[in-house]
Amino acid sequence: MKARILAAVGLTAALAVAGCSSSKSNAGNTSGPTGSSTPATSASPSSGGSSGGSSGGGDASASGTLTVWLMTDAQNGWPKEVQAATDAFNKKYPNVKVDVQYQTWGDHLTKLDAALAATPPDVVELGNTETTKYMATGALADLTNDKSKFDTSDSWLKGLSDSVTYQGKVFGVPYYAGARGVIYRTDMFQAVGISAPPTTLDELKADGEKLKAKYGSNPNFSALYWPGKNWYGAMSFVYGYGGNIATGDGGKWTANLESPEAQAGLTELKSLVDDLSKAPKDGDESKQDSVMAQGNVAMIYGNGWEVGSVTAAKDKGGNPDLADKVAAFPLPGKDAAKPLPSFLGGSDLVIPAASEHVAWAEEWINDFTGKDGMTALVNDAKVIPNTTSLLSLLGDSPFAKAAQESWFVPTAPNWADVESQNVLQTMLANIMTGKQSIADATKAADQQINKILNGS
Amino acid sequence: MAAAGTPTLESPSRQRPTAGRRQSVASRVAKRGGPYLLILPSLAVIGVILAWPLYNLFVLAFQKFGLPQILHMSHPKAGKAPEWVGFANFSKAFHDPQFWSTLQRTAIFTAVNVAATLIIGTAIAVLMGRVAKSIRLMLTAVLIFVWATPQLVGLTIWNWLFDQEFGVVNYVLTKLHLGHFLHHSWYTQPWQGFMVVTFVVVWGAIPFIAITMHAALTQVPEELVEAARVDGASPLQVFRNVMLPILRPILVILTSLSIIWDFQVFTQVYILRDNRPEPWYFLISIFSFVTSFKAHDYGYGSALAIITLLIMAFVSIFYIRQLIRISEDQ
Repeated sequence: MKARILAAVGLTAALAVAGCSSSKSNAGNTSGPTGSSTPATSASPSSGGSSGGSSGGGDASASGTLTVWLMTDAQNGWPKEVQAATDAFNKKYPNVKVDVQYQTWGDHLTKLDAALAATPPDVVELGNTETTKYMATGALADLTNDKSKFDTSDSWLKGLSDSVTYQGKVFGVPYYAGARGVIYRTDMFQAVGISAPPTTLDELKADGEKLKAKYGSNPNFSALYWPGKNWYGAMSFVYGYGGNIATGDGGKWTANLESPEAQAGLTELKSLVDDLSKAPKDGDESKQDSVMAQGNVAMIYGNGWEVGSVTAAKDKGGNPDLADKVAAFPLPGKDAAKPLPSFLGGSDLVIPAASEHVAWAEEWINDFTGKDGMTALVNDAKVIPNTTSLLSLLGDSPFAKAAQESWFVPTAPNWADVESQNVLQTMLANIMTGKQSIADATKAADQQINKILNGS
Repeated sequence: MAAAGTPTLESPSRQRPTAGRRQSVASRVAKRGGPYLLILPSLAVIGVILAWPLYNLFVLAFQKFGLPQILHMSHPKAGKAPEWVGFANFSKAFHDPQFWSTLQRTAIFTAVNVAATLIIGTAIAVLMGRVAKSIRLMLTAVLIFVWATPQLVGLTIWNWLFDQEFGVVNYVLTKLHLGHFLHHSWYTQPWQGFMVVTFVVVWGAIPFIAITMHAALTQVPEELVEAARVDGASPLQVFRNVMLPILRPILVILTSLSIIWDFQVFTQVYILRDNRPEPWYFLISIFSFVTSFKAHDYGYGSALAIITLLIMAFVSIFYIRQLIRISEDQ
């Protein structure tokens, strides 16, 4: 059985060749992996990371490699902060090489499975919806007793700290969170005489109609570009209308998408999408920022960082001309008092139980997600920090507001399988393309979710 | 090589009377053992990359093997040891409606793709025999070019061509007034989606078929064709009654190879559906992959892979039988 897994590892290795080879060429450099950064002390010695009373000092004689798996979000969005963490870490452990390998959301769990069977990485980024299965199987190192080593552990964002807690034990460190909001073109809104962003769904629809009336002659124009498979957005309607995905009772899970409340939310969403969106009904939201950058879209429902990618440089798929024409507002609800809840997405950093470098891993994680690292990250990338103590850095950002009213996926050990088998995306594709009625599609999804969540 | 070499090196130093006899024994060993020694490296490679994984695939198929068992491998104290479950994974497949619908879909897909590949490939081969040399060279170059295009590169291009929003296909079809194709999604209707997949699979498979068939066609004796023509046979009759019987062995081989290839199609569907194929785009290979690597049910996934393997083994009987016949004829 090992060989099958090894074959997968081989594949993984082949896929990761780019990352590995570049780091290997660094290893040949005797001045160490971050040789260039050591003299560059503009970051001042105080960033040594011991601000939170972490074990301190490090070990100049320790040598080896600390393997870190981060998502490409960090590679594209905040490589500087990753490097700063590694620099801070290398001040304490000058002879430990930090090998950061970037993964993609599509296949990182497959690769993690393969790695867990052989030599796992020492630090792994997991989405906060992916952690439960690995905590429940015992794949992750128990950090309960080391929790105080992490700078901000007394003020971790609840939505994230819940996702690294299983049966009272802590198995990871919150990294950052993201909330979604409606990103819109202020110039287009002004051009049709809308002075303030909508605060109810009815207003949103009315505004959409105005935009359609002015720009609709362009066959590519979407007032609200909403790809059918955007399940994070769709579930906001489900939760906002009083429904939920599934509820657990003593280990037994029951999916509730066919409840009248959930169906009412999805019905509302479908009419909105049918009316205002030309996005692929069976596509997902991964390309929506570059579509908005093309200029044919007035609104998308996206993550805070997508504002940046819409207005990014041309060679990164953005459109710098839109720089001061893009803003955001929370997705409105039925009435003005209550916007629809946003999914509180986010990432955690975990340490596989089989890692041989737990102490180093903890140190690096603290350098990355501790107070200094997080402050830089929030200021630079505008993500929602892992600690409530830094939320004020975001000012009155609509995304920070959206994060206050949030929903989260069921914390069932098998939830990750519902995601990786695309149950909700499939359901939504069926609904949005009209292939199935909402009643039939939700019923089929409920059956599948029940089977997965209650399977062994 | 050392083993075969040693006796022959030793033999000259032996005493004369026995040397001749010994040498003949030694040379007999060398003669018989030599070929086996020569294929030893390839056997070792096949053993490592094929037999050993295959053995493990069989083991997995009879076990309950998921995430806890993976953990157990690197960390014996964690997780759970694999549990033998007999034929449970196989009987699960036979009672799983998704397995049967996927198998049926795969069979139809294979039939359509093999037929399209062979018909178009043969037509191009016949064409290559008719056109001027320069055109034939150009055709061959284009075919080789297609053949040499890495699958992922080709797929990315096809994916762009058929893109719903920015795809050239939609644009051109609309400009040609063949219908309203702006914002047409090729994947909403599975039959259209599979049409695109078939298009891409056949595109990639044609070069091999066309070039092989062209080579086979040049083996048809010119005088036979001429004799048939003189006797008043139509071109179609010439093809069916003269050429086809001669081409039959190679056709059997190409058909069985195509069935094996098309039955295992994975990448094309997977990439065209953005790495997240919906269940109605599942072919048996994708079903097995998703079960293993997405649902962490490696036992069931392996059982599905073995069922595929058995079906393929059955098809390859025809291929191997034809190979044996050809070598016997020679």
